[in-house]
Amino acid sequence: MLRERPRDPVTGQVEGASTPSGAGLSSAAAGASDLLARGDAIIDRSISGNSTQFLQSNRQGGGQ
Amino acid sequence: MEAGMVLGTETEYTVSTVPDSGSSHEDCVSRFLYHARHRLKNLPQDGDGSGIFVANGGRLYPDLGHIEYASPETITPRDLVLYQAAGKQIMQDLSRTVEESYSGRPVEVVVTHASVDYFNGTTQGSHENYSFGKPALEEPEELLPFLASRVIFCGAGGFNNLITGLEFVVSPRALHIETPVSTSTTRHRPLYHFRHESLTGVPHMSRIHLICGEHLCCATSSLLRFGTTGLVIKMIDAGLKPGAPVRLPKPVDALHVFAKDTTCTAAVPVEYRAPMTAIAIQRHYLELAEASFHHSWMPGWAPEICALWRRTLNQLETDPDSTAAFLDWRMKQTLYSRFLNRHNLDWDMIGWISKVITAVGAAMPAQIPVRERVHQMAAWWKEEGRLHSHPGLANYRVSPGEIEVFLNVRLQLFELDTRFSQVGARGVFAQLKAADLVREQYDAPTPTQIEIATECPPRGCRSEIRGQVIGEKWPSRQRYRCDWTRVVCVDGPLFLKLPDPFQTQASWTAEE
Repeated sequence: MLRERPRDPVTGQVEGASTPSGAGLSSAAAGASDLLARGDAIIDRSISGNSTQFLQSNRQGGGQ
Repeated sequence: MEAGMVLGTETEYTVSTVPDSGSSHEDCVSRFLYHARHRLKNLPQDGDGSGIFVANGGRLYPDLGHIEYASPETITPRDLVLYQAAGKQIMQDLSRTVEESYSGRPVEVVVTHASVDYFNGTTQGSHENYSFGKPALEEPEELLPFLASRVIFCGAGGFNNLITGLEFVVSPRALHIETPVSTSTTRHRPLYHFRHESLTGVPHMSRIHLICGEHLCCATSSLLRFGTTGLVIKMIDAGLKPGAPVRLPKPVDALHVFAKDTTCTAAVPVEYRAPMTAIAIQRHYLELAEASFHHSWMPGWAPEICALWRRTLNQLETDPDSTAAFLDWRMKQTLYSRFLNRHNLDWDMIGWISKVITAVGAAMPAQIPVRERVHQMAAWWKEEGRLHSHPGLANYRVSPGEIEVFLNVRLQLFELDTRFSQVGARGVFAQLKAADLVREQYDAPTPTQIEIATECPPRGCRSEIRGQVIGEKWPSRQRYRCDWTRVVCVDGPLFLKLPDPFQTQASWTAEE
């Protein structure tokens, strides 16, 4: 279970907080390029072949 | 004022069968709830209705042809992201059982948390709840500039479903927001929603209820959504006036501008100063939050959220491509752009053909219903002489073949976008995640943590008690009723009162 973490009383930083580091940002940039390189196959197999039927069957009356 | 905050979220899950099973969405919703009652540890909700409370402290119930999952109350945005994901896992587990219930009729049960529908032009909600230390938020204008501009990191991405053409937008739901403030949820939806239902028995407390947001797939986007909004509400609760220096004369117009601006560079009018971009407005709120770290009322999670907030704004400004791996709308924009390119289309051409589609739609006979026009457009356009019989249309120089390709791609993109949030292995996002193409910017919930969270409540507030009681009492569920503020043993009668969202202890009493 994820719990609230204590703060460092001096720096105010959250103990063990994981925010994007330089490496994290490089990873994100690489991720975007991977997305382009490898996303096509996922996109292609996600389309049913009859989008009209899909959209019609899935039509929603709207919510809040 | 307390440093703590109680947060929660509600999601309207769309459910349907493909191909159409012939039964209604309501029938499918009933099947989900039937199996939820029989498969999950739960207690029935108090009062009328067929909803249930489940062992993680959250609630499942039918609403307007959807199934709504209300998360248990949590005390951190991290926990809220986890328990939002737990709801999705519950829906995924149930969908397998429901699919099997259509025996003899092979159907795919499609469950999504898509914020718009592309067939009927409707919208579904994902609401947010934040505890507030006063009886009501008297000055929602302090919050409006923040809500209008936060779409740049918490927009779900998708298409404008209010037009006949094709327009990618940062937040499709935002285009259904019509007024700055109101009490309505299904008509004239507001940026800030007045909800006179505090769900507490503590006189000075109330619940901020927001309906302008979208359920996001990326955990990082979700953490930013809940965390930044929670901090802004906390600042208002403390008596600061964070919205005063960035007051928007027309907040809904600003929301629509930001929701359509995929470059994040559009500026909107601000009172008494030069126009500002969404990033600049967000920076204003961020800097105020950072300057407030030393106050005792700031929650312990504030520094982590602010660091993530700052880095995301920096990236959107200086390296927007890098956000495609962890912000929903940027991820979709990247994938859909690529899809268009593979069909020899790009967004400029899409914009141009959309104008043609609008003109063709206007030229079509009035007796063809608006909803049918796009579907009949290619055939109508192809009819001999049509191209030249309408001088206005001939000027567009788009061939019937190009129109046909466009309309086909448009339908495929609508299906893709609907399936993006689909729960289970067929969901586009689920497949991207399984292929390790999502780069969360914090240690986001793991599958094991999510699985545990489907049955174990969060700690630190009243949902902990509610969930524990449900986990203990569900074998004799006919004797109990549950609500947000109490659990009732009907044959006592005995009551377990939970009036305070922050309470972690309670005992059974005969006093109602």
